[in-house]
Amino acid sequence: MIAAALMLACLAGCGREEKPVVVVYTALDEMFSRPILARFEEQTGIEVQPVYDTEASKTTGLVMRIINEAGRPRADVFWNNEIAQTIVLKQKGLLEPYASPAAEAIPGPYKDPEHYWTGFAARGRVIIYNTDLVDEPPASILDYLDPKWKGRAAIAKPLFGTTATHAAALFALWGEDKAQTFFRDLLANDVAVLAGNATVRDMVASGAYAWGLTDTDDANGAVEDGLPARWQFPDQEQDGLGTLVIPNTVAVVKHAPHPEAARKLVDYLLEPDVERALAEMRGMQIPLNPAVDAPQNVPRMSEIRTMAVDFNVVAAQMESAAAFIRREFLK
Amino acid sequence: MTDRRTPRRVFAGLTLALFAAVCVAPLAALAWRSLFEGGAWHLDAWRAVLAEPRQWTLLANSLTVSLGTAAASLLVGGGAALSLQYCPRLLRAPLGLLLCVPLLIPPYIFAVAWLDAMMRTGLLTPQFVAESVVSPSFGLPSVILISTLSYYPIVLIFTGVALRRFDRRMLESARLIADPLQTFFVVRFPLCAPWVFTGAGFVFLLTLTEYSVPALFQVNVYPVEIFTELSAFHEVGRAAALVLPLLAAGGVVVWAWGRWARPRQRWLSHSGRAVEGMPLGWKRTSLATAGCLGLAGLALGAPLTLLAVRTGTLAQLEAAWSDARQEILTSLLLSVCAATLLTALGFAMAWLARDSARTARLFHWSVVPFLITGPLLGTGLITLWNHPGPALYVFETILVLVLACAAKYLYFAYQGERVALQELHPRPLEAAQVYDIGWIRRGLRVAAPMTAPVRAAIWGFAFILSLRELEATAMLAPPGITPLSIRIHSLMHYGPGAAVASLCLLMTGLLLAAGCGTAVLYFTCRRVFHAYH
Repeated sequence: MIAAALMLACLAGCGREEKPVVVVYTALDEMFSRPILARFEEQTGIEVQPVYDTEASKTTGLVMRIINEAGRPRADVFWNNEIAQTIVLKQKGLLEPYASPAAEAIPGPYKDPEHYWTGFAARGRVIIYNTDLVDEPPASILDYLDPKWKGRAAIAKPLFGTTATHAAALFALWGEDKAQTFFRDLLANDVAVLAGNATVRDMVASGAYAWGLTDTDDANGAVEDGLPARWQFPDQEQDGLGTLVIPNTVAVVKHAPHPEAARKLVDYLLEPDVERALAEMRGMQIPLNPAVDAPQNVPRMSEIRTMAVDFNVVAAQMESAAAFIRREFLK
Repeated sequence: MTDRRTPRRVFAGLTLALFAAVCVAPLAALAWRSLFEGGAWHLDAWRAVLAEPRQWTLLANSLTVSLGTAAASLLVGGGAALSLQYCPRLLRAPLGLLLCVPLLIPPYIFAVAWLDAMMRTGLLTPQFVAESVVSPSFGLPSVILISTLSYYPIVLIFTGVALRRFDRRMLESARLIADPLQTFFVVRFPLCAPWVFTGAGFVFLLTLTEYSVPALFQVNVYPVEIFTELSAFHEVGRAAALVLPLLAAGGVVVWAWGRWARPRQRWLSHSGRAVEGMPLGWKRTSLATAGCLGLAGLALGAPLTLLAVRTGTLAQLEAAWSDARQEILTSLLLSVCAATLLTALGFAMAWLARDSARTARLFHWSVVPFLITGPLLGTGLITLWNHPGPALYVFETILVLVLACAAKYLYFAYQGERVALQELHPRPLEAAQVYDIGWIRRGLRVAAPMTAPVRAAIWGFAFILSLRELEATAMLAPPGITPLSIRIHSLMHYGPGAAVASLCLLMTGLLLAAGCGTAVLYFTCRRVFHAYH
C-alpha cells in the first residue's frame, strides 16, 4: 500500500523537464505576476514554474527559502516586490551578476552598479486616510507622533515587506538614535501595529483607524473599490523628508539550474511593456523607465519627492532595525 | 528457531528504518544545521535566545493560548457531549455529526471569516467595528475563542466515546444511593475524566504549535516567533532554540497522558450497555437541543455564512474551482499518500511496540517533529534532502511534502494504533499463536482486521490533517506543485476577498467530503469487523 502511494506520488514529479523551464520565486502578488509570467510563456515557449509568497511572510519567506536552498538552488530568478531583501541576498553571495541589455533605461539609483539586481515598476509609501473621519489629512509620517492622532493611526508590523524596508530606510537616513526615538514615540502615541499593509488599508477604509501608512498598490485598491479612502504621498513639501519609493527587483540566483532561461526572463521583466502592464493593473506600479507611457492616474517618478537613501545602506541597516523593532514591538 | 525470528527482525528493521527516515533524520539535519556553524559546534545562539527576558512573555502567551483553548474546549466539547445525550433520540446522530464538522475546517479559515467580518465594511458597520469589535479582537481572547471553535470537537469526540463505553448499570447503582449531582461528580466524571482530558491534551498540543490564528490576530506565541526568526532574521540557530520551551510544555503533557490518562482509559470498556440520557422533561430537552444547535450555528454556520456572503455568486465559486483545480488535485494526492504512509507506519510501529517497552519509549519521540513547528521541520527536510543524486527524486517531487506531513503527524497515527492494539482482546491472538501462526501474520491477519475501524478513522484523520497542513509545506513545495492551503494563504491579502472566501469554501467542501468518506469507511469497517466476530 505504501509502495503504491509513493509510486503515485512519484508520478506527480515525472515528465516535468520535457520542455525548457524557468523557476521564479516571486513576492509580487500572484494576481499581478501571474499574467505577466503567462505572457512570457506564450512569447518564448519556456514553461514558468512560479513559487509565490504567502501574505504572512511577504518576501522574507522566499528569501529564507533561497538561503535554505543555497547548497543546491531550485530558483532561477528572484522577482522581489521590494529591494532590501534582494540586497541582503547579494550580500550573502546568493545572486549571480547579469547586466541585462533591457536595464539600460532604468535610472542609476534603481539598479546595482555590479549588476546583481535591477529595479523596475516601483511602489510608493503613502498615507491612506478615511474620508469620513479625516478632513485635513496628515502630511508627514511625523504626524504619527502628534497627540491629535493618539490611538487613531495604524502602521504595519515593521518586520516584514515594505514596512521593514521603510523602517530600515529611516534608520539609514536619521541614524539609529533618532529612528529608535521615533519608533518608541510612535508606540507611546498608541499607534496600532497591524499584521500587514493590506490590513492597514482595510482597517482605515472600515473606519477603525483614521489613517495609516501603506503602499500605493494597496491604497489604490481601496479607492478603486469605492471605499471611503484616499491617499497621498507623505513629506512632499520643499526640504521635506520625501517618500520612500521601493522598486520591484529582479535577480538571477547563483548556480541557477536554468541560467539561460533565467536571463531571458530577466530581460523580459525589464521590458517597457511589462512596466506598462504593471502600471495598468490594480496595483498601479509606477514605471521607473521614463519612456514608459503609463495611464494618467499613475504618478510619474518626476512628480514625486523621493526619500534620498542609498539602498545598499538601507539593506545594511535591515538587521539592526529589525532587531530593535522586534525588541520594542513584539513584547 | 533462528529462521522463525528472521522475518520479525526484517519487519522491525524496516519499520525502524522508515521511522528514522521520516522522523529522526530531519531532526538530526536540523540539529546539525542549528548547532554546527562555521566548522564548529556551538550553543551561542541557544544561550543568547534562552537568556532573553522576553522569553517569559512568549511562554506566558503560548501557555495562555494553549491552556485557555484546552480549558475552553473542555467546557464546550464536554458540555456539548453531555447535552447531546439529552437531545431527542432522532436528533442525536445528525447533531453529533454537525458538531464535529468544525474539526474538519482549518482554524485559519475560521480566522479569515471572522476577521473579514470584523474588518470590512458591508458585513458589519464601521461604527460597530471601530467601537466594539476590533480592539478586543486583536488579542489572546480572540485566539482562544477561534481555536476553541475549531478544536472543541476533539473533546466532544473523546467525551462521546467515554459516555458510549459507560456501563449504565454503574450509574443505576449509584443513583440508588446518591442524587444526580453527586452521581455525576463521584462516579461519572472520574471514570470519564481520562478520556475527556485526553481530548483536552490533544487540543493543548495542537494549539501549542498553531501558527496561523495567533499570527492573524497578532499574538506573539512561540510558533510566530520561530517564523519571525526564520523569515525576518534568517536565523536557524535562534529559531531552533525557541523550540525548547515547546518541547518542554508538550513533553509534560505527553508524559502526563502516558502516566495518568492512558492506563485509566481502560476503566471504561465496551459493555454493550451504554448510558442513555435521563429523561429531563421537554423544557430541559429543548434547552439541550437549542444549546447544541446554537453551538453548531456559532462554530459552523456563522463562518460558512460569512464566507458564502463574501464569495457572492455561484459563478465566483465555479471560477475558483476551475482556477484552483490543479492545486486541489495536488492536495488530494498529497493527502492520500501521506495518510496511507502514516497509517501503515503507525500500525507497524504500534505492533512492534506492543512487545517491547523499550521500542515503545523510542517511538514516543515521534511527537518531536510535531512540536518543533512546521517551518523548522521544513528547514530540516531541506537540509536533509536538497542534495544532488537520488535525494532529488524526493526533494523535487510531491514526496517531500508527503514526508513533511508524515513526520508532523506520525505521533497521532502511532498513538491511535497503539491504543487500538492495546484494547484488542488477547484471545484471538493467543489462539493464533497456539495454531503456530507467525508473528507478522498474527499482526497482519488477526490484529489488523480486528482494529480496522480504528485504522479507517486514523486514515481519515491523517488525510484531513494533511489536507489542511500549511506551515511545513509552504517551506517545501517544489516549483509548480502548490497545495490548496498554500494557494489560499498566498491570495489572502490581495484585496479580492471573494477569491479567498471561495477557495476557503472549496477547501471546506473537500474536507467535508473527506470527513463523510472517513465516517463511511469507519462504519463499514465496524460492520465488517462485527461480522468477522
